[in-house]
Amino acid sequence: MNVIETTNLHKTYEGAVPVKAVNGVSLQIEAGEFTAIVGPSGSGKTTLLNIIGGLDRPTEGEVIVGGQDISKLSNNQLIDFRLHNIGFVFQAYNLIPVLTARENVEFVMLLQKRSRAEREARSQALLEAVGLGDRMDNRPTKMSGGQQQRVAVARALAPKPKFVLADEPTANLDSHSTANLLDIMANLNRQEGITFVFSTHDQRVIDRARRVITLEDGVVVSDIRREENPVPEA
Amino acid sequence: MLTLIAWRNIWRSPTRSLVVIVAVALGLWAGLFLSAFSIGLSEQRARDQLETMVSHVQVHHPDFKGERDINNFIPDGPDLLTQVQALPDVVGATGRSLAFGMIASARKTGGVMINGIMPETEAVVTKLDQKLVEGTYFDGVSRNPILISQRTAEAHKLGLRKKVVLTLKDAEGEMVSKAFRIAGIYKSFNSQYDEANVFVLSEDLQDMLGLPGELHEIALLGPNKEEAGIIKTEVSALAPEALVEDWREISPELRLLADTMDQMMYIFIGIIVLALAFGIINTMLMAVLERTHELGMLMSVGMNKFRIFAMIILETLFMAMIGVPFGLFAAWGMVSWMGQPGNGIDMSAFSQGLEEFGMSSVVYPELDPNYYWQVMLIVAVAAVLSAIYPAIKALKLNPVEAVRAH
Ligand SMILES: Nc1ncnc2c1ncn2[C@@H]1O[C@H](COP(=O)(O)OP(=O)(O)OP(=O)(O)O)[C@@H](O)[C@H]1O
Ligand SMILES: [Mg+2]
Repeated sequence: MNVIETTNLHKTYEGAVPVKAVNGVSLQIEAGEFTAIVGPSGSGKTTLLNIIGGLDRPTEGEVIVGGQDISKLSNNQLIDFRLHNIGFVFQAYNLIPVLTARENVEFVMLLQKRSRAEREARSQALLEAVGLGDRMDNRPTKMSGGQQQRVAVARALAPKPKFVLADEPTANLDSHSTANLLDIMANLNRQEGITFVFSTHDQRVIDRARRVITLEDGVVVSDIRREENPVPEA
Repeated sequence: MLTLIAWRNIWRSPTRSLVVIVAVALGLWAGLFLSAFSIGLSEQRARDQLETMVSHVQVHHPDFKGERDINNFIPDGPDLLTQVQALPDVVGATGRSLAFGMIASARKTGGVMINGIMPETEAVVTKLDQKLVEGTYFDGVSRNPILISQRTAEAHKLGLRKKVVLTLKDAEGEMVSKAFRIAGIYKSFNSQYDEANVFVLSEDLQDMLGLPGELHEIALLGPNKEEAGIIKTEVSALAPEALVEDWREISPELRLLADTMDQMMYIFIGIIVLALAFGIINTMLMAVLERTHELGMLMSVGMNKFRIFAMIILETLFMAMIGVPFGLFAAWGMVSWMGQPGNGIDMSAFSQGLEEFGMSSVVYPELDPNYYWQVMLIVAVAAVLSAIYPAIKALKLNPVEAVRAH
């Protein structure tokens, strides 16, 4: 089953020189994929992820997420759609600094109006799953970059989204934290069947993906599937 | 949780928030205290005017006012006066015979209102005895004593014990004259009034008029100006044929004064609140701009505009409301303390010689308890209104732009 389907997607930024950031992308992403979008800087990775995530609108083409054409939604409907269907992990500024790790994770569930008991149980389970069971009451400012990104992954999963979009989630991390975060994401993918779509520059991250879509100048230039999730090279 | 975030956000830049909190507290305190002071001042001025001139309630013949025809005296005036003086709520009551006439000295002649008064009760009702600057209160002159004002004395180049002649029309319309000797010279705070009024004993005037015992005016004081209405009703019941008026009717300008004071206060509070509003707008705009990425992230993960808006409004409201109790309490404490007898603000340095006129120079600040709530409400509303612009700024953020890492 496709969770994401785009047809002939275009995004042109108007300006003195119009930039065709995405230039005819048609993709299908199935549930349970662990997919990396790669390509040189400026190739349109962020733009593509933003459109798939309902943060930005295409100039042309269709985006169907979970069977729903999201280009037909109003801005307010999109906010709600994002809340219930998509988990986000950004490169930075993922967390509310005045809330603890646990409160950050609970917050999105609160927006979804989930019960207190469910919020508490789930935030605890998720933070334990990302290895932060003992740091739940810390604020992000007291955590390392890697820990913050793990909280962000827990936060992204909290609303039970159809998939998680992560735009360069490891860009600010050292290699140890990068490997750690990737382990966590890969585990969640394998064990819980969570769909991850992430963009990256980092070859070590690319190596962990089961499908690698390469963009160049807004066009998909290669799309490689590896049936087995490869074991990370030392 | 919105509340929690809003509350914790305040403490992200404690100094900046404290500046706003302190400004709210100080503004409120200053606004309330100055209001209390203005009210105290205007109340005191009104009280002084009433207790030295106007009195709380006056009684006349219904046709006396205007023409001031001496034949329109109060029916059974002396009886009514005795009855009024016996009313439990009445602190003091006095009767007056009044007539227009001419005062003539060797130097010149002028028109005056001749007040025939009862010295003892007049002293209770208008403190006329305290307004003397020279001489005595009808003493020391064996026959026909008169009190004239300092202004009149200067205009006529008259001194104590000098003679003046009063001329007027009696009840029959005949011109009558009589010589009076100056027993005392008075001065009130109203120089126009001073130029136009002289005081003689009621018997002497009644004798000239040929209206023995008759009174044109009864003036009385109650315990305070608020109860004038009650006393008016009581007196009206005693004298259904007479015209009984309370101070609001006698002196509309006093009422106007109080109203103007009220308006001034609101203008004053308005200016303070406006200054606060600008401070708040500025602070919250800074807060929103600082949190561009964070707000973008919140919108991206599904926080809707209403919640973003509410969060910023709440944050502002909390900040203002932390300052409010301090301001209220400080103002309340100061007003209550200074309102106690002996703790008032002595204004004698600013308004010399008020006591000379039988007025007090100590102002006791006072404030209706409702006023505290009103001002608190005004500040809360102002805070919310000031937060609207920064909140709208936040809503205008584009999550895509806000969330891009730089
Ligand atoms: N808001 C915008 N206005 C105009 N041009 C834009 C805007 N956002 C992106 N672009 C342009 O669109 C193109 C694609 O940008 P995008 O950020 O999607 O690339 P990217 O693959 O994510 O690059 P990077 O690896 O550096 O993050 C770039 O040429 C960029 O300059
Ligand atoms: Mg990018």
